[in-house]
Amino acid sequence: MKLLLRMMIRHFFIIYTGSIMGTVVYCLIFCRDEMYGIDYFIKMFFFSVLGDLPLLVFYSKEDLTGKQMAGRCGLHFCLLETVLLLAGRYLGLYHEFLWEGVIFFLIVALVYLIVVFFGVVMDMVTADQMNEVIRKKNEGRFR
Amino acid sequence: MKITIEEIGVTQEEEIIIRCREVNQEILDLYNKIRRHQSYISASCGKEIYRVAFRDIFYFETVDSKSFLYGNDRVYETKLKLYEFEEICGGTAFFRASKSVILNADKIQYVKPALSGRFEATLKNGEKVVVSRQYVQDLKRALGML
Repeated sequence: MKLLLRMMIRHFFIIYTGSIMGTVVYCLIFCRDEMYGIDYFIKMFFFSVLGDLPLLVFYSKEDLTGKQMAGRCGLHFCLLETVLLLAGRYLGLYHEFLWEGVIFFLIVALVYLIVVFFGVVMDMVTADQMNEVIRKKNEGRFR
Repeated sequence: MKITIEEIGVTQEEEIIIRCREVNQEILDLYNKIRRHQSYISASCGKEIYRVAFRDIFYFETVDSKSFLYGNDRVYETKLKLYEFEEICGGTAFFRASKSVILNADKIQYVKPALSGRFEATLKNGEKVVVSRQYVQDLKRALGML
């Protein structure tokens, strides 16, 4: 649970940053003259807290198998999209469900994919570094 | 630290002598590592009881309150609890890989990333063991990367 809480705090900041960046991209494309007050950033704070809650699906007392983890990742994405679409509508981040809602959905999906992509890249770099050490260790008998 | 290896005749007894100015923590860790490398654990396989050398253990796992030692091609059952095994093998190449597994870093062939920040370690006998995200730092430490 401690690890999950740590992960949730980290993800909160990732979602908050991602949301602000998403807003910037959205405004650059669709409404360049839009002005935002302090209440927008407070809304985004609650939006990020809500976006963090689906992470609770990863809580487990036992070790998760590969299939279980894949299932929970899928469930997490679906819950995240649902929670953020509802919260976005409630907080007035978009108004028209069909057109703006779809764009909102795609922005959330894009931020999600970027986070996953960077996570995979970082893990691959870490794995390469570890494999280099393991290779040297296995070659040299007395290391 | 200077390391000297001297080859001796087949009739002579093999011996490791540590010559140091003082017995500090580093020396003690080294001593424990060598001692545990040569020590054994009693474990059963079927109806027979074996003395399993630490260096031959690939990983330790608890399943449904039972503890198992995994060798190259054999699985032994042991009375040791996970925390007891963890205490015994402190300062060695063994590290906690997940909630129920303690893995021997010396037996890893290679690692590759798995889903959601986890890593899959392929062992020298071809078995695959998952290293949970929270224990990746322990793996790095066991490999001497930290």
